[in-house]
Amino acid sequence: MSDLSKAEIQVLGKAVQLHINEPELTEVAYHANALLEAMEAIREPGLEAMEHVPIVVPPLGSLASPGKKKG
Amino acid sequence: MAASDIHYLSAGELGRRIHKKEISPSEAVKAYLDRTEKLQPTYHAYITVNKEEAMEQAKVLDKEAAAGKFRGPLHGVPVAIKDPVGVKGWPSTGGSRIFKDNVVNQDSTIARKLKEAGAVIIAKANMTEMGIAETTEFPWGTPKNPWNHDRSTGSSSAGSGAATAAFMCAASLGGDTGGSIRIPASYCGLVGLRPSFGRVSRHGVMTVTWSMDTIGPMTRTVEDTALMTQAIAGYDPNDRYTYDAPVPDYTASFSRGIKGLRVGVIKELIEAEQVDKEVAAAVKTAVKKLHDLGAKVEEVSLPMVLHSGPIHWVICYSEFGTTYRDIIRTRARELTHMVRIAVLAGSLLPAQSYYKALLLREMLRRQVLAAFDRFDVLVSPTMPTAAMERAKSVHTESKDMVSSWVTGPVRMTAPFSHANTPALSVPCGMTSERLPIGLQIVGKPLDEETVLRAGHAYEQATDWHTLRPPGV
Repeated sequence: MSDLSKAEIQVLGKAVQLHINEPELTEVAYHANALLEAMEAIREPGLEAMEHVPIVVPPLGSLASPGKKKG
Repeated sequence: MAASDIHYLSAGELGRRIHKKEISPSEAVKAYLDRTEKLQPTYHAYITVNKEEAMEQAKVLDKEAAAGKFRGPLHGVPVAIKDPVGVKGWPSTGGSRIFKDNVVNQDSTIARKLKEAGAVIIAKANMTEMGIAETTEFPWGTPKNPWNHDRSTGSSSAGSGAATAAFMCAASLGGDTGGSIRIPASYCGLVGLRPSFGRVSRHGVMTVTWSMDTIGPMTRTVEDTALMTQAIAGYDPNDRYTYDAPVPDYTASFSRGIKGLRVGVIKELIEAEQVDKEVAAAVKTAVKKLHDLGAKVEEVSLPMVLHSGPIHWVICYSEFGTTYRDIIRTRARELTHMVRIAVLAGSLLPAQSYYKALLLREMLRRQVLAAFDRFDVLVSPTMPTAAMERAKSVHTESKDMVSSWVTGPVRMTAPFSHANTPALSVPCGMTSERLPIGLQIVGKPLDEETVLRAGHAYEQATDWHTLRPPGV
């Protein structure tokens, strides 16, 4: 993927009521582009089938691996 | 024992001597406050020190001890806690000048529990601004690593690390989102435990990344970490994410040893290119020691951990970008440079990136939890290197610079934040530059007991925990 330009970073900022200019703009672009690129690069098979599980810890009783039923 | 040597005792040993009335709580607290007064200008370990309240509390505990009443093994033991943990009447700044006047009007659950356990809170520890770990700017002074003042203490719980390693408190609490307890513990030669998410209440604690923030101990021995965890763990009706699960007697399990314990050595984290040769060698020696103590050791592959850096930072940036949304709009100029950049960038990440990171976190979590079908604990280096040199610049010079830390050292610790498992760092060696190395021991969710038992068995079979930083 191509990097977001500084102008595009400013537009994204405007969408969330942030006016981003130098001296921050260049560094904000480095951070945003690096993070987006790193996330985009991950192509993990099965991701699309992943359940939308909340962030909390699964109960101890459900620690068995996926698909394995408790006896 | 001379008053000038009290600070060298572990928290557990100090508590035992107080119980035997060989040392009074007031003597213990005064010894640490005197030492703090002497060393704080060098180490910048604390943001707030409250001598008067600490001595008042110590005198109450003196009276109780004289009457034969002891609240527990921490009765009269002086401790420091990371700044975001609220203490009634004390400021909670979260490491930021923006919150310098944020005096809280009630104890956090953690502070209340520590006081009920007899611990005396003498100070609140320094940290990176807002707990954002990748910054190197400390508005309240840069904490120094007692092992080498030019090296990083690790972050974000840098003050807790410096204070505990410099014997400015008997034990401390840090905060761990992606490794902020374990990293400074590893760099400063300490024991540090990230408890399971939901094991320790966060009621009254300032937020950084709400879906992964935890509070846990940083101490000089595994026993001390067990005692501190014992004091602060448990269900809290004020924090609906805490688990209503029994809290075992952690030190009681130590006598069981680790014979038969199934230990998985995480292949991807010990063989990674970025792991320093001395670190890898120290961890392999530690693994052999676990084997010699009776553990059954095997290698385990967890390839998803290789993605944990990007997963971690996208979640963190997105969540702290939201946490600090008002501040970045109204008081951005009062933030330090790196925090301002990080919060601005976090505010821009699209929902789809955050959501992908959440799904990947779940995939990673499942892989880690599945490993516990075969193993009781997993082990790895805590960090790929010993303490690094402190960064000279606060500026980001290129996208590549960000990419390198996005995929960098946090991949060692963050996977277990994502899996919501307890993870302990325990000293396991020294580099040729006399810098500490940490061994990470990870357990099943809510199974701090086994993690601590394994750490204790290893610690007692080695002498790394007895080493002191030069000149301290």
